[in-house]
Amino acid sequence: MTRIIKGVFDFQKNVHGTREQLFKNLGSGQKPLALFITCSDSRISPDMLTQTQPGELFIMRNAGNIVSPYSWDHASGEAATLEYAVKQLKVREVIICGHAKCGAIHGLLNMDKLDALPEVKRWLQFSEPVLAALKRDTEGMSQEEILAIGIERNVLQQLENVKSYPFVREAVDRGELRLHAWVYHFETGTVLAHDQTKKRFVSLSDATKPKFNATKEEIESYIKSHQGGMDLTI
Amino acid sequence: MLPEQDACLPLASHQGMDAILKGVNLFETVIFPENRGYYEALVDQPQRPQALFITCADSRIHPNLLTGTRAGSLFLIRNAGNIIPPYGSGGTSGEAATIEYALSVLHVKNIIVCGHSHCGAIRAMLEGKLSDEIPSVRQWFTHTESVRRLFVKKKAAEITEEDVVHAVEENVILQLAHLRTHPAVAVGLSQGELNIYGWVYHLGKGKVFGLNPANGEFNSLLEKDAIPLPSLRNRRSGAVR
Ligand SMILES: [Zn+2]
Ligand SMILES: [Zn+2]
Repeated sequence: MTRIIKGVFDFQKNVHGTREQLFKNLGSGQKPLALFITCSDSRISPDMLTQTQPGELFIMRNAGNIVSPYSWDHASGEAATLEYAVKQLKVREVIICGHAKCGAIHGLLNMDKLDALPEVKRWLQFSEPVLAALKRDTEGMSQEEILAIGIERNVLQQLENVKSYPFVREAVDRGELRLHAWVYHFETGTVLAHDQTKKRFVSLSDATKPKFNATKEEIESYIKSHQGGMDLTI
Repeated sequence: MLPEQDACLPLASHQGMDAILKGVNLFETVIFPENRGYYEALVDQPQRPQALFITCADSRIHPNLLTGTRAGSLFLIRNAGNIIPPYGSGGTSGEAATIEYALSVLHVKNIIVCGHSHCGAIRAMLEGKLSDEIPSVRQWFTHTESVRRLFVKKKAAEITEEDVVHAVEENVILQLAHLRTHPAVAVGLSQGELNIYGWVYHLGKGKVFGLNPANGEFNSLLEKDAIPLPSLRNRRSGAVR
């Protein structure tokens, strides 16, 4: 904890000062580009991964990047956060980003061992629809391979759960909202995205090449601007 | 409907999804290769976060930046209003599951509930603008109804940023109380194995204020070192507010 408090001191003294204008503007409202839904896992830093600045990503995080499906009589944190992002902030993109080696999905594959974790077990019911097909499709595979495929299938399941909200479907139909399914592999530092036409996950940079790849000049200017401890996400 | 959001932030270089995709590409091609050793070390061992950090979904909050931590340090819950429903309050709760996972599986020793100034949803609640258009938000904010009641005598037009900060502080205190109803939290606190903290991040000022159990006020973390909030047992013995 001392480490964290020290970090706050450092932020107040140094980081904030060097980007004062950006932080001052933060007081005047937010207009985020996207709702980014990801796991609570400490190894994921969405800001770092997407190189976005404060003000750009509205972020929902919980164990397993799970979204409870629409229910007319019960408002969950996921329902409220999704509704606020889409209807109030009018984000144009929803990105659900799973990740390699996810502990929650590991739990999903071992539901019989979760009796000591009743809340986790109940929570994973929103991912459970993937289990039957997963079992069928991964026969004979190693635990590691099954986990990797389970993580991808869970992201797609959560995309379905997001679509169960009437206001999401309406916004998608009007062409005002796009949904994305990603998996972040922190061991290789790459992001895979679900390709709807190929019906499988492909490398995000391959899929979007060449339009969205950073140019040589951009990389150089990035490195230049980040010299001297200016790295925004440390 | 709620009023239109304030003016767009002047981040002209970032336009929608293009900016995000480009950012990912920059991470993949430059940042990851440069820090390969750090990231690879993260994968080889199970995560060992120093704290569970519960904060609002608001795009202006960067927990790692704020706390000077890197990937691997903070396990995160983020939702609109940094709300934790009380244990057993009906329905399956992602917050309950994530708290249970953080404490029982990862053995996290610190929990920080961090509200923030300029919270749009809290302001809308105070102004009575959580309308039928956003029924889920309105229902979710019943978990902070007692904070709203403190301000019912004020008209919407009279709500100031000072009121918002005050409500945000009260909300942090309320969510800390909700947090204590979760069995793993209660047990951790009574065994002295867990510390909980209440913070408010002031956007624009770049300052963090921590709930001081000695006086029940939010003091600058610069002035006072963070003091963990006591367990219920200590509270009964009159050690705090
Ligand atoms: Zn995970
Ligand atoms: Zn907020």
